[in-house]
Amino acid sequence: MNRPYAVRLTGESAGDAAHVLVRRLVELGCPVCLPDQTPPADFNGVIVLLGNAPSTAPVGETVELSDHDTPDFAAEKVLDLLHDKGVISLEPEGYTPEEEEAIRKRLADLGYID
Amino acid sequence: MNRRLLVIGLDCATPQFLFGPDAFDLPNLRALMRRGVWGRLESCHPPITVPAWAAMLSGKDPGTLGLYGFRNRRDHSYSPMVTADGAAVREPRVWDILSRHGKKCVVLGVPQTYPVRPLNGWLVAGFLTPSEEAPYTYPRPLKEELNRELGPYIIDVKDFRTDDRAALLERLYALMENRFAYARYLMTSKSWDFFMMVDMAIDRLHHAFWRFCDPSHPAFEAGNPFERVFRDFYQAVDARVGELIELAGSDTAVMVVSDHGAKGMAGGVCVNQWLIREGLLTLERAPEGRARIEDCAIDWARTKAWSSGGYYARVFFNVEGREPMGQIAAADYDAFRDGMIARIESMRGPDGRLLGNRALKPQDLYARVEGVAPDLLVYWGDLRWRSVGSVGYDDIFTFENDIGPDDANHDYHGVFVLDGRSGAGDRELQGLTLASIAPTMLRLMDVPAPADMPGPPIVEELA
Repeated sequence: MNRPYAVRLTGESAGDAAHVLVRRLVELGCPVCLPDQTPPADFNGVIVLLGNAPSTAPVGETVELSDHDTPDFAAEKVLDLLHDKGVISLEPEGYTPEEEEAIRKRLADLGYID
Repeated sequence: MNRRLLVIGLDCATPQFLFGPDAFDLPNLRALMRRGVWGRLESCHPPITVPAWAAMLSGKDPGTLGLYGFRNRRDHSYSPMVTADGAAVREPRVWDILSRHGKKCVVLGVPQTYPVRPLNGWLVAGFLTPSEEAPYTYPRPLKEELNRELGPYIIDVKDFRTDDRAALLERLYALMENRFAYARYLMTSKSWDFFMMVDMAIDRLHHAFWRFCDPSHPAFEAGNPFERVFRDFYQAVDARVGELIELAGSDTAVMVVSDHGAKGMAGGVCVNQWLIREGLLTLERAPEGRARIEDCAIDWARTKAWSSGGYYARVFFNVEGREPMGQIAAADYDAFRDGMIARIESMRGPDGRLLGNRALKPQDLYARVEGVAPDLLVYWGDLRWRSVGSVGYDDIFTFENDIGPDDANHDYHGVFVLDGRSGAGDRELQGLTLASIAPTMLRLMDVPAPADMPGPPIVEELA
């Protein structure tokens, strides 16, 4: 992973989007440095910056967020960008083998497959 | 235009019940038709929920999507097929495009939306959600909000295969009411530009009750207690549709669509049993009783073709150099396929008359053929007969269903109604196809359709 990595969010909705982004990064198991924190020396995660806030780390990307986007969607766009940069890995979710079998049985019951 | 759009999807809603002399009295849908345009909507090949909704909402045909049914071959090995979940739809659907243009979207119950993918708005996945415990909303906290405000989300009707039709009918009403309650809540609690829901209950209703409602069905009995359930159910849906139209307000265009229609089912053609009889499919040992073909040991060295069943058949060939133990020389492929078409289309039914089968080559149907396509798609009796993939039958034809009652098959046409506000109301349109729906939605939202979305929008009807 290309970390640590600092991403700067700008735009009116940056604060709300940053809140969601931090939550999603935590869910993905990625260490996060919040906008009002200073990262420790050995930090190996994503540093989220807001607006023109100063940064001790070089900023990898500045993202201008659209006011038309929900905070969740704006955060997902940033996650996609971090994935493309090799900072995080977004593994696609799918059915577990048990779910696959349950769905197969359900589809057979409904007549879709035989 | 640049206004809001409400799309109400009614899976399997059938033209004869909305349009024409035998249509039910559906005041809200009728009022919508009077204000706009309407018509029979030609589905895709195959006219099945998956891939039809994905084709409609991406503007791409099933071949381009690489989706030929609910379950598809992953590769040319003999491995079991896998379910086409939401991730299998690799082309952007309408809400993906609208999201990129900053439009806020609500998507509720649309097939193939699990696992959920981010959009600019809110999404509740459709009936291919594996369980109530699954994360079926986007964003995830939406699930807790909905459960708290509305109670549990009914993913689909439970215990569908039952002879207790009265209890099943109650569950179908509960499914429909739950879906529309979710719709009302999302419509009023979220700020949206594009709202789309799909209700599956009419599809389940058709399959479970066709013989009770259609006097032309061989098993119909006049005076049966369920004779009017289609009319009553459609009218209940119509009332709920009216509520959504009212909630949407006058600045919202309204579209009602279905992915395919339905017709009465005469019986089943046991396709793999037929292939065995024709010497094209060999099992290492005959099953004890009936068995799914996937559970049988196939002698691949003595098999040229096998099939999956459902409402239609997908026939796969065992081709040298393509399948691991291919038995059809690549040079003979075209001749073999043409021969199979002739064999299938000359099949006679139990009464000795031609069954009216259609055997279609994917390459003749689609702009592209992606993924692992069947070598032939087959509609038995022009969809009057379902395709039984299981083996262990004494005959090629069956009038029973191992898994329980089912009286309807899918049909080629669904419905389309659009409150076009063009002033030229109550106009029937001819020749509508699924390919026009996504571009029309985008046109209504004043968002350009991608260049690779081939179907033209129904522009002339839109104000």
